[in-house]
Amino acid sequence: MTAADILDLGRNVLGDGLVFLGAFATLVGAIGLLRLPDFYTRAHAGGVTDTAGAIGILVGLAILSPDLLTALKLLIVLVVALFASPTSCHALARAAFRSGIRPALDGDRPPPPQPGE
Amino acid sequence: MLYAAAIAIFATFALALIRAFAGPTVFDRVLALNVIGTKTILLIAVLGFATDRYDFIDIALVYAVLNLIGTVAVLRYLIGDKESA
Amino acid sequence: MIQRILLGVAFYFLWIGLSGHFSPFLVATSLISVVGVVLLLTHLGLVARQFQPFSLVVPLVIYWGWLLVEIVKSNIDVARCVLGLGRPATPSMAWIETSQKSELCRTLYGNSITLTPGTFTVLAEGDRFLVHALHREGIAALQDGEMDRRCLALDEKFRGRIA
Repeated sequence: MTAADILDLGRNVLGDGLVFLGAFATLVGAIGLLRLPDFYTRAHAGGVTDTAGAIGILVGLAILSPDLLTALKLLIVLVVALFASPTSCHALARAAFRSGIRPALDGDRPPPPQPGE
Repeated sequence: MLYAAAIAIFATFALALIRAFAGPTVFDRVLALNVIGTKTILLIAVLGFATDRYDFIDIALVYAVLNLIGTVAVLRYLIGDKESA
Repeated sequence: MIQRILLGVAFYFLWIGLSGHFSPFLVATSLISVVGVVLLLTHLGLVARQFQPFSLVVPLVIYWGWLLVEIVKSNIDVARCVLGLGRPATPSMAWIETSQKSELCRTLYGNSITLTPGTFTVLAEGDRFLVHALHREGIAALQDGEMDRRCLALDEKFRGRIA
């Protein structure tokens, strides 16, 4: 085996591993979407699929990609996704809070403050 | 490995759809649809690689931009015109 | 003027990255479209005049590196909670004080909180955020304020450039 072969093998293993981790994180986030008790905690599970899933799969594919331009494009998709994710998550939480949905909090915490306080 | 990732994303779709149907609040449904939207970006990219059609990434990019606008638009509609969502 | 040239160069690299074609005709049309977009942005008043956003690029990339590590750590935390391996969820909510003066860096801070799984910003009013956390340690870590300090350092650099 030449050095180039070994480099190629390492690249494939690293890329496949990252894609696998991303897919696993996506699945875990979806399970959390079903298992967690209320809207606000479910939004955290949605955050897992948006960050770990997207970073793992897109960076893994960028490592696997045959040319530099494809990798660059995948990273642009990743940056767009990482800018869009907190925006939609914050918009969702804000809309839910404004329309009067209150989170179930842990027992020994004070009740959530009201908006416009 | 790429097909395994695609299957995992399809399973994610199924679980998120269950949440979208179960609710209970309308925001849970929007959250589930938002998750499906962002996972569609990943699915397009993964399937593009699995079938050696790398131009799919351009479609994924457009989808990433449109998905954000879709979610914000739905929330604006739900909140009403009183304030911006 | 230098601002517009830098913006144009950035747009041009984006164009090259997204198209991947280098025939003379397409390079010429890309130049025309980049110049058109920059002129349009100038006409709309969207090009920053008093400060140089590009001077923030290097500190911002360093900050993103730190944020990536935080994202990985908190992802593991939330995943363990979902799978029932770690501590059970203790949802908490609290107002967090922010110390950034510029809107840009306060937005950066709020978005960083939301991007890290386990915490997200529910409301942003004036200079404080209402934050929901999956574990009460998440709130404590934010009140401890390492992320706030890092965003403040960026903020001071940014405002130093405006003045």
